[in-house]
Amino acid sequence: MTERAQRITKTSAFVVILLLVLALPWILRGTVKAAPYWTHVFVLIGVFTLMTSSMRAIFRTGEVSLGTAGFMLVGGYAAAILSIRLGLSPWLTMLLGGLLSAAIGGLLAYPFFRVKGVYFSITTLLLGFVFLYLAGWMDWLTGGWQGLQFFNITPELTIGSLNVAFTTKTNIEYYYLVVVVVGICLFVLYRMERSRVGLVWKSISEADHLAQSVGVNVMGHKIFVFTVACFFTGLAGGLYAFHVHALSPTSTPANVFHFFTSVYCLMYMVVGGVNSFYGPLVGTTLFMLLREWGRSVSEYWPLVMGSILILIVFFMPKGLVGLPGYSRIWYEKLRGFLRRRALSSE
Amino acid sequence: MDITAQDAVQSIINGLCMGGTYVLIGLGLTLILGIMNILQFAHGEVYMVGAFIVYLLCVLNGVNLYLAVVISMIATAVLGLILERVFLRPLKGVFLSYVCVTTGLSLILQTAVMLVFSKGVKQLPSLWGGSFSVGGMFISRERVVAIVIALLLTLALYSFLKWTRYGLAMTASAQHREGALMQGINPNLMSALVVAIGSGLAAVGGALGGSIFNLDPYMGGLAFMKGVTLIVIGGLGSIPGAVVGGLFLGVAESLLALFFGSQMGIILPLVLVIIFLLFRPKGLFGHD
Repeated sequence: MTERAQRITKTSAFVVILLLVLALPWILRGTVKAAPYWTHVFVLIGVFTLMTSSMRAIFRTGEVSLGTAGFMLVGGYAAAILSIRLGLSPWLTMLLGGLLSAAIGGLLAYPFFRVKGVYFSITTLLLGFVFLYLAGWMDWLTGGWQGLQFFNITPELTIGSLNVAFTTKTNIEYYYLVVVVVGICLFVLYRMERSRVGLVWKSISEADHLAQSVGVNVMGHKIFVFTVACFFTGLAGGLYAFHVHALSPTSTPANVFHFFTSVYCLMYMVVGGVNSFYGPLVGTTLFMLLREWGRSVSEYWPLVMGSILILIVFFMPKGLVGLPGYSRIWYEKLRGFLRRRALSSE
Repeated sequence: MDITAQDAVQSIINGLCMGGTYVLIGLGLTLILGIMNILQFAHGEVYMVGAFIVYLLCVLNGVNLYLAVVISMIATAVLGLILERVFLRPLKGVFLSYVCVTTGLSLILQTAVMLVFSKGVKQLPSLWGGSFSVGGMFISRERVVAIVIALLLTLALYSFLKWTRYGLAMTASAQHREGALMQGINPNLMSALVVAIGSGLAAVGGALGGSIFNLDPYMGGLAFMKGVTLIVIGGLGSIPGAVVGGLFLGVAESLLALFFGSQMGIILPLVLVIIFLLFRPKGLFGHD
């Protein structure tokens, strides 16, 4: 294929996917019974895609952060509390939640990045637990173990005489809100990765000392990417908060702010394909849809998920994004095998 | 609320007992990290599986408790061997891969145990029922037994590493992998041994923990977190560090819980660990 043809294919695929994403609520309305529920599922997919992509942005510098759920909690709780206590508009508080999460991330990034690899992962993992327990402990602010509920606060938008309330009745308005916000965030992340900054991240992950010796400010770049990722994770928390209207700090695995969410994000990232920007999108969408279809056997779900993850790591290290390449290799291998057998049997 | 000296002593003893079970988890984690350079995310689940095997033998089939613990230790060591050979060895320490594989394993083990032993409260019988009093304070026997078992096993491990050929070979691999390889030490054998020993110890930890608290398929996650906390305090890869770190963590938790409430008992050690990682990443007993 020539370069031009490739570009045309890529652009047309992008346009088709974009149209599908935009038309999704209406498609769902026409095809499935519980359309609001499925729209809700897609809202969650959007939120989790943003979190997984931010995790992957940190991974571009070679570090695995397992504190995703913790920063999501900070963003979600900050947005909810500011709206409840101070009566600020949800639009503002979602942004403030992201900013608070980014501020905490930015402050902690310098000490955290003094350690690398396993040690960094441990630190972020423990930080996630600290946030979870703090949210339970600070009951004067967060409502403690009872959790926070704020069903009466919904983001509203007034353009001229048109007033749109993002309620949970059909979820359609909220779906579009998430599509727009997550779309913008993903675009920013994409542009960063494809720019000079992204190349610098890659150089840090491949050889940090070498990068430092040619004048890259390794620590500065790591702090920067961590802060950005924390901002997006906090924003995802805010989006989540105003969608479900109930937050809780319980330490059961079912809670979205529990450590398991970080593990799931890691899974989505790896299963989708860690080296491609589209990996988190593919991984999150497929896994969360599979999970919905598997509701009836939800007890077995972690087992299935763990098995898929291990199989992917062993047999498809590039993830599902690399499937075309893998299928070609497998096909060739199978053909070679069959031919050898045919030859030996003659 | 008044806190008497008796309360303080009680909570120190409880803390030492908890610390004993933490040490048994931490020893495996720290050995595996030292020799294979892998953080075994499924180690907490190995601990949980160990406890459930004891439950299966002792409560459901009426085997003697101490015999059940020994059988569970051996069975878990074999499980460790399988995990090492099938899952960990082919990865050759690639960071993201082993994080994924071991977390995947922990999900699989959790679900498998949950499906086999349906939900509901389960408890192991007490190691040694009753209590005795020293100077007007009641100390339950099972806690003392737990501390003694943990310390004996640690001592056994320490002597193994200090005075036997295989132990010395293991210490050598932990200190310098390539150097040990050049001396003719088989790194794969060492990895297999270390996972087996670590898993066996974790199983005993699970049995001790399970006789004091309830059994639950998700108990491994918290135990894993404690293990990670204590190996960071003690210094990654250090045995004396793991012992001191574990006992310190247990006592600190229960004293903090006594003075500031149980929430703070969980939060403050985590904050302490983060501070440790930042200012003294080597831990108390670690070396470069």
